Amino acid sequence: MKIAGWQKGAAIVLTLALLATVLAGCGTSAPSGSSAASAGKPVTGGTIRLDMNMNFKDLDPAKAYDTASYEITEQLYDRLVTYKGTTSEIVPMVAKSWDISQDGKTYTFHLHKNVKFWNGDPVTAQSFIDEFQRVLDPAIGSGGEGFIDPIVVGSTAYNKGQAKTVAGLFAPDPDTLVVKLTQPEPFFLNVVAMPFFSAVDQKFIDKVGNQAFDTKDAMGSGPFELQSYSTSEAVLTRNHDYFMVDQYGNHLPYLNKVILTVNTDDQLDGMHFENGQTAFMGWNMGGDIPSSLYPKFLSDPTLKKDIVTEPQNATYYLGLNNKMKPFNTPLVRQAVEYAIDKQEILKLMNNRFIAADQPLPPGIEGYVKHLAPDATYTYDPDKARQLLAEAGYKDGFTTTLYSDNQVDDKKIDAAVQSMLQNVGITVKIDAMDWNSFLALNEKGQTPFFQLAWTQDFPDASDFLNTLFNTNQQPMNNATMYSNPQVDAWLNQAQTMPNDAARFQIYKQVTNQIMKDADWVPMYYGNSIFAVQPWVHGFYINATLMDPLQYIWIDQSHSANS
Amino acid sequence: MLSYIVRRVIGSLIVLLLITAIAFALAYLVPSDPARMIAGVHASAATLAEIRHKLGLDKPVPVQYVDYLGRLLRGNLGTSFIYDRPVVSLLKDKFLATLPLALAAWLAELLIGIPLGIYTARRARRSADYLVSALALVGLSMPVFWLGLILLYWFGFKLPIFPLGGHTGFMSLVLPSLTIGIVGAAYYLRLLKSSMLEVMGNDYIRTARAKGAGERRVVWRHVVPNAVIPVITYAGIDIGILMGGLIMTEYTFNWNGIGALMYEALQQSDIPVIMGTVLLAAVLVVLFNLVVDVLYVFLDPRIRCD
Repeated sequence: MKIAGWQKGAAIVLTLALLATVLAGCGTSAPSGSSAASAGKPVTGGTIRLDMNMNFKDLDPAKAYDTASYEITEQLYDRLVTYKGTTSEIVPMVAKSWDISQDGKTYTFHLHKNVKFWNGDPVTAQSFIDEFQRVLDPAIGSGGEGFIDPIVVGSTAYNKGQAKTVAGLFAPDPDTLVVKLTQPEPFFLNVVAMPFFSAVDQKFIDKVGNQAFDTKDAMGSGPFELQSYSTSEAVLTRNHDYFMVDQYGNHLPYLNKVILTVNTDDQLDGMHFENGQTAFMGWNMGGDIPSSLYPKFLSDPTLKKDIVTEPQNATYYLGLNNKMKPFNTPLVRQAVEYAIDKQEILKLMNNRFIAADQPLPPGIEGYVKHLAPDATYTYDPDKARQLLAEAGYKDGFTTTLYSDNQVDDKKIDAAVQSMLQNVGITVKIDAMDWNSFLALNEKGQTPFFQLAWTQDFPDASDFLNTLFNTNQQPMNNATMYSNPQVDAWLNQAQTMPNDAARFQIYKQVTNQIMKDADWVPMYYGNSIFAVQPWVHGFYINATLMDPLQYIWIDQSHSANS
Repeated sequence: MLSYIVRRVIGSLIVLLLITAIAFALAYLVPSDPARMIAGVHASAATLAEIRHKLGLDKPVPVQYVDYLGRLLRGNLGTSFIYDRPVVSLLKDKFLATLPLALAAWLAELLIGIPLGIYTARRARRSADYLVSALALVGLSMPVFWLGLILLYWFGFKLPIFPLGGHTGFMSLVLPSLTIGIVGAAYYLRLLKSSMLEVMGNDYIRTARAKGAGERRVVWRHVVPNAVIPVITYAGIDIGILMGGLIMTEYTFNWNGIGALMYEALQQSDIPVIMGTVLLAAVLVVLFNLVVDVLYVFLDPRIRCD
């Protein structure tokens, strides 16, 4: 998903899916290898407070599509599958196992029998079918619709109101869910791990109505129940009947209460953390310690020890519009590649990130460790000038760089302007609010822009197919890139099994895209969190929100104490 | 008097109508797509079309404006695109949060600014005047977010006397209202001082002194009542503006009021909320302006309704 400074979260959002666990006993157990220090056996009880850097928008998992809403809905609702610990490995959640037919088009999920909504209603296969249908219902306006339409058989007909049920979804018995696809999709399990496809209690929704379900009345089966909720504060309390257990047989979650308060001021966030009011700064902060606080955290020996870092599957880049002059000339695009000093940009970002050389981040399978020589660019202003001269722009040209108007974006705008001025290209900067920028960019009418993409789920297709396939123009493919060979490769990889042959195709795609110099990849994101030493069980999964159900705290520390 | 008030109310309604038209036009000039913001990049054309239809965004802008006015007359400000809640309910929640802060901030401005204005006017061109006026200039020059942050750091973090942001009771009102008070008091000080100096140069003040009236009586009986009129005008508009939202102060002190709502609505192209917050701010300013105009008649006999 596209992300911009303030909205790193809102974009990262699409990224997320579920809770991380390992199968054990009747349910699942806590992940090993937590990033934060773990001290001994988990202790149940206590309250933590967290600052959120965005207001809460949606409680309905079909509609939740931003970091703040995800932070809550992931605690309130359960999905079929989730991710293991810090990895991108899919593990069971409500589905204790699943079968995939030989043709890759039928998924049969076998569900746990003892999962219940907070009101005691059982979670059944129908609970998931109901949510799939809600996601497909245009009246709901779910951001998840495009992930299953037209992949699930009958999804388009349901979306268009031509069918009353989705033909590809059925439940032979309450504990078995069958999903039929129109074509094999190697990343379908990643799709159903997204919060959009959580179990919902349709009886409850029918009673309260969709609007109340989204704005005040939640009913999930997740580890935490919603005690109170407003746009500026949410209080979650322990679901004592939650079905998942840890490796000691203790029922999750450990915490009695989590208080999430909206606080958009970074400086206050820092002070709250420093004086121990808040337990950690993670996804709830939109994915990072706020950039203005990072130097302080690095320079303070105590705070520095609290930092936890994990690579984020996000790529920040400069887009060059292939259909607009002068970037429709490959030599000009290549000149820009050589003119950008990525190390300088990293310095501007306080060295929080990693220099990028291709659209796929290293955490996604398919990343090319050694790009072809003609797909590799190093900072070389002389080479840039030479290429511009060859392209007929010896005296340079003038263009406009479009971007979001947040602090980091504007810093990069100015740096890029200076770097390109150095090779004779005059850059005017047009930084605007995120919505306006996105609306303009999605029309394919920006010649040169600064943007970022964060995974919706950890699969190469989510980057390469979504951003470079001709059929994604102009909305996602805003550079208007079009290469028939690349399209053929991408379409082929969409339905292939997840094996070496598929990743070989993505390698070819990446090399070709970089050779065509469609993007200047600038850097890959890092998730830089801060966790109090008295907080245990915390870990970062690039696809999940904060793992509140696994967190426990020293008994001497509690927001209530 | 009644006909004066009726005329002013009608005039105010016309002003408000113009404000809604301008705000509506500006909101739609921004090239954003609320449906896309709601449904995300993977939504199909059918879903986007349905959302636009549901929100009325598929109608021509003038028709949308007329619809908006029709709903407005029935007290319906629409539903937030982002929160899916009635704008009236959002405004009510946030206004109730902003109201105590606005009142406390206003009182702080008045309690600091007016005494200092009188003090400096009485000691014009003396060292005390220069010192206080210089300090007022410093206050006037300080950005609210910077002063607020300094106060928070020292009196909330280093010396944990006051809460670190949020609105959790009386104590949480002190730092934000003091921040606005320090910055805003400078306006009152300068306004009252210049107004008093002007009044003190009038013949009737000289006459009062010539007749042997004491300085205290001259100041409090003759100067202040005549000099305070522009201060009242400003105070009336000021409270309306404060109640309409304190974006920077609310941001700095994590006060989830109207200002914070307006800021987020602008970021998210939440047009009904933008319209609602703009309208609320306009109504408050117009209302308090009207109140002040009516008060004039009672405060200054020279001012007549016609």
